Amino acid sequence: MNILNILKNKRKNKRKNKFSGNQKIPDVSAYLVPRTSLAWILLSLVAVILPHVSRVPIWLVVICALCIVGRILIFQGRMSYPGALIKTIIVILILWVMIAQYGRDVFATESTIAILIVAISLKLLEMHKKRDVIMVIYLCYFTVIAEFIWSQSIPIAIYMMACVLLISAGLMSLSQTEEYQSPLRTLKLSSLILLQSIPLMLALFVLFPRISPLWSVPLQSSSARTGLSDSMSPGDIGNLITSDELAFRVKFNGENPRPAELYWRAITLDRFDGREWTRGFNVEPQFLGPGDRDNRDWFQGIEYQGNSINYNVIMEPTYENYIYTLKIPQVLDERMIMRRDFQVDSIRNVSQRFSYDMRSYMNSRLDTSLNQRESRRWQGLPDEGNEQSREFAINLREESGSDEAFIQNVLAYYTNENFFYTLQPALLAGNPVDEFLFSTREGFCEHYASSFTFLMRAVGIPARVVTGYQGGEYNPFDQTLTVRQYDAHAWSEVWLPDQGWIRVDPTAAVAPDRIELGSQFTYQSEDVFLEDAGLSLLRYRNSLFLNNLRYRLEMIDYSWNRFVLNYDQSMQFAFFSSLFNEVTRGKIIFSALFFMFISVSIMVFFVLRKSSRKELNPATDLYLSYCEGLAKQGFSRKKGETPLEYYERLSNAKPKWAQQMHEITDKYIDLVYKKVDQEKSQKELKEFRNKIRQFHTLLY
Amino acid sequence: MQNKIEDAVNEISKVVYGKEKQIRLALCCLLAGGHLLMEDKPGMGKTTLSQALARVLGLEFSRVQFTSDLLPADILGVTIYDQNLAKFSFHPGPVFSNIILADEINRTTPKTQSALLEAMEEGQVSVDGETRKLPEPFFVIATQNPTSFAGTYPLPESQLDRFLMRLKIGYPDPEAERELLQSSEPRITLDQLKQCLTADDIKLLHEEIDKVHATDSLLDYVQRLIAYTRQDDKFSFGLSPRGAIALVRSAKTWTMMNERSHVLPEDVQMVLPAVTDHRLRAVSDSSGKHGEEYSQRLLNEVDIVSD
Repeated sequence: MNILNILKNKRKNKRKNKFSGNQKIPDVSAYLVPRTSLAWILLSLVAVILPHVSRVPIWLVVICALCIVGRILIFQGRMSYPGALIKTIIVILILWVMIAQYGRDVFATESTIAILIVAISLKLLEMHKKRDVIMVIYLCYFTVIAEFIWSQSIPIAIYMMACVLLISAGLMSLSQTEEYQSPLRTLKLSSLILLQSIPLMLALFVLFPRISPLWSVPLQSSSARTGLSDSMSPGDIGNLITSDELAFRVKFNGENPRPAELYWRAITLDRFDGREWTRGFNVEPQFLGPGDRDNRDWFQGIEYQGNSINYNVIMEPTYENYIYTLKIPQVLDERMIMRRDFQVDSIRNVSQRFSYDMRSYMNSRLDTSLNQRESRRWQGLPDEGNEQSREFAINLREESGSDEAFIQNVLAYYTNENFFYTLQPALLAGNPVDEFLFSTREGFCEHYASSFTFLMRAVGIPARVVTGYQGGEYNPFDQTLTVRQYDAHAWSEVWLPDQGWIRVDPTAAVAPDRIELGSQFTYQSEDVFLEDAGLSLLRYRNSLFLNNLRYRLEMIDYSWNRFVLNYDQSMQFAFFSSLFNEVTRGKIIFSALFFMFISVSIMVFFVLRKSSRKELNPATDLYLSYCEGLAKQGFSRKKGETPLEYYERLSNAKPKWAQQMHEITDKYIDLVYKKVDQEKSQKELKEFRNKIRQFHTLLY
Repeated sequence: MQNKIEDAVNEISKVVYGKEKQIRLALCCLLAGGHLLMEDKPGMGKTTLSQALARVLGLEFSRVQFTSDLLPADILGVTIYDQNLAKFSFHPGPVFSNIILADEINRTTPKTQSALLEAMEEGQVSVDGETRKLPEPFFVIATQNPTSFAGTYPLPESQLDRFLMRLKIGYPDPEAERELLQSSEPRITLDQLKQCLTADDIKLLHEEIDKVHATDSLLDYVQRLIAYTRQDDKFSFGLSPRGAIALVRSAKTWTMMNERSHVLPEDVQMVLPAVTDHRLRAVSDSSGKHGEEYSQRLLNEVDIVSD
């Protein structure tokens, strides 16, 4: 019975204890994020999120701002940490809005980054422990990397370096005592660390094996990128003219061809539905890659003639497969294939900047004979529509007598009938070709290419539309050719017996300046040109200084793209083969490890050497901070002044502090110049630290 | 024990007016076991101060007036044939006493100077192939005229370095001088000074000096001082290790004289000019007349607290 009672009592006590544990007693052991660390973290968080702001929905930015404000309120004690229920509600709410916003794309890159950003911001509201703070800091580092998905330009890289500096300062400030929290000092330290990491970073950059990504996350906005698409209807290319975005850069080996000769083929279009040109996939079974070279009999149709031009192209990501070539390329690269219509495609989607070497023979002849099936493909027209044009073509063909004369007459028609080349043509409805040819007579290159090809096909001449870019601008400093979106162009190719495919550019007949001078000079007067380009240096072509500045910047950008961003496996192998006779993966890994070992041991050497040097007496350190505080009041210590002399000078100048200064000076002299045993000195040091801290509060 | 030192200072002050600091430094030098060089113009009281020191310390002392025809044997002693005993016997020179007053040391030839200086460093002399120990303690108090005066042989650096301190007496300040001129009663002569310290006292004081503690922080300061003289290119040469030891030893003695157990930077600063003046020389100054300036630069430029 007794035992039972005791057990009962025990249980009761337990329950009591548990109950009292649940009561809201302020948690004395709660971790308070140091003031400066919090400042650093909030600052770096803002800096890290800033570049993402334009890409995330506005409500998300508002949430981030609210979280930051909330965090400051929590720090000031005006708000308590939100409870579990509120947190759950917030998270569910945000997830719901997220799904509503992104729909099926919720697992695309944009939305995941948005989730990342909102997660860091929310984490601010539950930074209870040092561990949480460190977590936020690491997430900030991660977000820095995320920015590079969008842009890898030099300014962004520099900005992100600065962000890393801030974040590291935050991480450091977390372990600093109050005396060391001077922001400038922290920043100096973190830049020092960043500088020290440069050798290792270079080593990793040059030597670390490049592994292709294991998986890739689709980009939701890939469709929104400016660039050519695999269909063309009136107005498509006109839209590109408003953009000054870079399309690609070319560096020629040897002499630079004239820009007027440069027709960069990208996409060949063969199907016409009366309005839109598209690419027929199903009739496209044959292609030519390096391995297939001998199997494809149509390959015999290419007669490479004349001198070759070799060039290297670095193209901006298009999220499509086509790549830019001059007529007519010889595909040497494993990563690309040539289609039957001589369009060259990359095997992989060009989702990142792509560098390739190409060789073209600009005078070669293609397909001097064409079999029936092929010619039927290039002659197809819709059964009806644009009747007026068909009639016109048949009549003109009869008048002309030969195909060549017919082509000349069509071009002459454009020239003589007051056709007008403009970026803002009238809209075309119903039968666009008829309307363009016989009523509006104003259009952009796609109108000309489209109508011309239509007229050819109407009389049975195999013809097709080719879209791509024409011309470009040479940088006088490094001789690279820059091709921008506003250089987009469309032209025709017609097939004539014995001559094969020849290029006919009807635009040249209407607006020869477009080809000879380049797009930027032709369009300058038109309003829509560079409409989307914002404050672009391209607008100030007339200023010699700004123009040269632009060329210089482009040159730097080219080198950055070529040697830094495009440093890939092949460049790595090239680098290694200049070092070793035979390059193997093992050698690369070995030398990477070796180099890392060397650089780490150099650092270790310096660290050890530094620590073997005599450390500053902690008391002296504190005393220096005391002197620093006084120096800010205008009483700096002279070098040869002993602590006592310093005190005496100060006590005369500032009698109200004399007492404190006297104590500090006395204590300092005792600590530094008197022989004391270790334990006692630890205690006295603590006292001394308190004294100095008190004095600092007295100063401010 | 320190009272005795105070007594000694007071006693000397009776004959040397208004020069308490110099008197203390001179005592400090002798108590530290070093040799003292006093340099000033004639008539400044060098000889008086040195004689007073000798008397107050109560040690056996002899005085040698250095002239240009003085020979080493005149200081060290000679071996003379004694006809009565029918053998050579050694007649010790004035060097065989506790305190030697080498008056106007730079008036004699380097040969004689170096004979004395060997005795200073080694504490022994070799005469006629026989090495003889000098009595303990052994102090040399040398006086000299500024080297620019006629008929002087300046001491080379190596020999200057053997003096722990070099003191300049300097003109008395107006009050002391007035007192000096006014005194109607017959002046106290050197003979009337009473002895304040004994040889045993000096031994005890040496032990006390050894007990004085210099912390790492203080030695850091001393090393910064020395490093400054060695690194700064305005100095034609840095302080020697002997100079460094001298500095610490003097500072410790000064500390002991002030009845403290630990050396403060003030102690170092107090003795530093006396210890380093004659050891430092500017690159541009071949005769070494401006050592003071460079000692002062040391005091001003070297940070006491940290690098």
